Amino acid sequence: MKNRIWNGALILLALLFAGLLAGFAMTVQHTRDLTSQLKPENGAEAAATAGERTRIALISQEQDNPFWQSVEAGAAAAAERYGMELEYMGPTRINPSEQTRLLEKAIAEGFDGLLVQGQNDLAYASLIDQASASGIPVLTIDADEPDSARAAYVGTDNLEAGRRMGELVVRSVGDKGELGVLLGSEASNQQLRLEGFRSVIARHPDLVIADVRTSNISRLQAEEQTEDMLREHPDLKAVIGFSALDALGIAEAADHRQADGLLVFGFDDPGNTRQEIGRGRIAAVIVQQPGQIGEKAVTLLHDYMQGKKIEELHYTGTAVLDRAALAASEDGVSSQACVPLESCP
Amino acid sequence: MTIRAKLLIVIPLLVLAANTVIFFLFRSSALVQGGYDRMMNRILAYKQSVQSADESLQALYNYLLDPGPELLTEMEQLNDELRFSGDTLHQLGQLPSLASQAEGYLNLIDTLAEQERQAAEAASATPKEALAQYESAEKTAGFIREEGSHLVDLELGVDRPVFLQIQRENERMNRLGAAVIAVQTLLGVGLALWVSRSVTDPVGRLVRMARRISQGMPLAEPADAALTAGRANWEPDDPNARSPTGSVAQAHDQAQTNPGAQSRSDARLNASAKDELGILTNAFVQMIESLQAAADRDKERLEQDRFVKELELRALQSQIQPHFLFNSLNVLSKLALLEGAERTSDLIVSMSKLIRYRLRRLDEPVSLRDELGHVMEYVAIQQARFGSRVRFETDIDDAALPARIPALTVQPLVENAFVHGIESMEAGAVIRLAIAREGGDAVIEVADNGAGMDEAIRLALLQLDYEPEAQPQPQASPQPQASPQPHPHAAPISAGLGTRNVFRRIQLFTGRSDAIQIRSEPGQGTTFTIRIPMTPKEEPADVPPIDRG
Repeated sequence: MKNRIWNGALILLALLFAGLLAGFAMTVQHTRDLTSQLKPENGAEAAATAGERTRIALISQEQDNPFWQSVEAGAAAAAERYGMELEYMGPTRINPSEQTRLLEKAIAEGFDGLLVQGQNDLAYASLIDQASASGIPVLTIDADEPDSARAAYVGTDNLEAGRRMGELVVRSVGDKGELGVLLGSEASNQQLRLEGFRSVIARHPDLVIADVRTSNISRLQAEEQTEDMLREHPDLKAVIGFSALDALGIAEAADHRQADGLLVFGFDDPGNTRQEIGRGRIAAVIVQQPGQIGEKAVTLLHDYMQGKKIEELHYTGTAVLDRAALAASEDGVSSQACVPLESCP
Repeated sequence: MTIRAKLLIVIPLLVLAANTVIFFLFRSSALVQGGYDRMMNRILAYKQSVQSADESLQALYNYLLDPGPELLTEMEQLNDELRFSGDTLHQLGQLPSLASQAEGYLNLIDTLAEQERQAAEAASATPKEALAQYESAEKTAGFIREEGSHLVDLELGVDRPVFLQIQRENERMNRLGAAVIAVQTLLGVGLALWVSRSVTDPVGRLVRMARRISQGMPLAEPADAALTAGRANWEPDDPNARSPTGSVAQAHDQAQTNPGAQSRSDARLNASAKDELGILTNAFVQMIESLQAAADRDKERLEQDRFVKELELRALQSQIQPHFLFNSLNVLSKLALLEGAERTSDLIVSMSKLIRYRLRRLDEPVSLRDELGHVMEYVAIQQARFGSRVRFETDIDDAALPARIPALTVQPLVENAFVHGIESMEAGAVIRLAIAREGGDAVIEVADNGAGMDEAIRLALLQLDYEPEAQPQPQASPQPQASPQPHPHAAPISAGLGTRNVFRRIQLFTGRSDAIQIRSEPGQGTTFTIRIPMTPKEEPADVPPIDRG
């Protein structure tokens, strides 16, 4: 009996000890796993894989912008498919000069391909030329840089989108009245949209664009500018925002000014644009397809680097999102017209 | 398992366990250290490259301000250093998640080095182009600074959660370490006790046993105690546990009646202990056993000796008269023959033969034939006395007669039959002596049809333990003293020699406990049966050599 207790106690202790040792072994194993995460790729191997891998950069207008994030998501998917490394960069707040600096840096960093937003700026265009000259293909997305050596443009046909917006407004407002316009920035895409818009409005002599202002792609600024416009032109029938956050800002301003009859138009559907459309505070928006832009751009870049000939202009589609379309999309299982929560500056 | 084997297993095992713990601790800290080192190396390499980028740019600037061979050499040297720092960074390798950025950074360094080289080349020929190159180099150096600190941030961002986890693992390791130290200490103490127990326990048992033996106690009890201690077989009503004296007496009895049982239990006790001390204990116990067996044998021999001496003493007591009697009887016999009384003469001859037989050396066994002759002489005299009142029948198998038997064993039984069995019968008494051979035994049967005896007396007769202390002077007072049952057979002594004396001598001679049988019932007569082997026991001698002197 005494012996059995002894042996039992000893075996118990031995088992406990073995368990603790196993715990030790496991801890060491965990530590090993963790430190192996800190291990660099073997120098030669890393060089080999890095040499094989194609590195491309996507320089956005604003890093945390939902529209650009959608572009990146599409681009990343395509890059993954072609085995390319995609680096996404952009200024934290909208800043064209920072964008230029990033392009410069990307050229110095020796990327194999670049996706950039056109700026309609000579210095910018010359940088693109420089990159192209040193063998780095550049594609413009969202906004074109037509006077540069860019290989192609991928994005919305902004002129056409502007025309479409014009037709939409004419249909809603009629052919008489004053209109206000908000631009996101001085970028070429905004200008093209305005140009397309104007070309439609020009056909209706009684329809006048009373004011054009810039919101700087800020909702608060859009709100402020709209309130100003309404103060100066109390008879505005509609205000049209050409960048993503404008419509929300305009709707907010209309609320403040209690301009109940004011029709609000915009581009893209960030934030709670859809609810606002549902409530009738926003008449309609034209939605772009940023994911598609990103994906298409990377695909074209890949084709170009493979030595294929590519066309210079690749337009992605747009869709009108108004109350009817919203209802249809909510009824239907899915609607191609609406890509949720995407926005465009 | 032997103690040596235990030690050989336990000590290396403990050392191995301790070393395993040390190994794990060492391995873990080496891994963590390696992780820190790699991270630090990378961060330092980034910083180093940023610094050499700035330095080389400064050197380029100095050279452009004042082109000269010395500054050119310095600039070129720093330019080489810059390239070298890029190579170092490349050699170190990068985290997989940062590989792309790191490659961009390396390209930046290459670009800077190239721009600096071009600026230096252009310096003398086209200073304007050199300035343009310098400006772009300055820009690139700015990128390097920016990207360098960005990469350090990224590196730290990637490493931080990993190091947090590593710290958690380290904390766990510390806790485990404390537990391991405690458990290992306990295990060490436990194993040490376990090993030492296998030494101290049997030694303690041996010491207890030895102490008892040195105190003169028999082996049986300590063996039993060891048995109970060893096999946890303690029973509270174990008779051995009652009192020391009682248990000693009991053990004594056990040892006497069945000496083999103890040795068997001892063997069982030590069967489990296979180690060196187990072997020692076994040897010790066996030694004690054989000592005890020798002591028992000596005691038996001593007893036998005492009986013979008693017999001889009795014979001596009656020796003076027998020689006188013998001579007188011879004269009487001749005289009776001369006077024509032939029957008287014959009786006197028988009488003298009887006496002569008793004068022989009593310690030597005689043949059954001789003993039978002695019985017949005795019967002849008794028949002259009893006449037709007694009929004596014999049934003798000659084949049994060569058997050896102690002298004066059959005759006392026949005498007993005459004196006690049939004395009170007026007529029709029969005494029957049968000698037969059964296998290797000679069987002697003395039967009478007289008074018989009851069971108590029969058992008392068979109670063969000879206790001289109980009968302080058996020789001096042959008559029963104050016997509560005045039965004829209860008298231990008859015609000088008691039946008990006869029985005991036969038993000691044969060494068999079943040598004597008594069948009797009150009023139905008594039958004594003696069983003697035809070939005597292998004992060296019935009598110790000293008595042969």
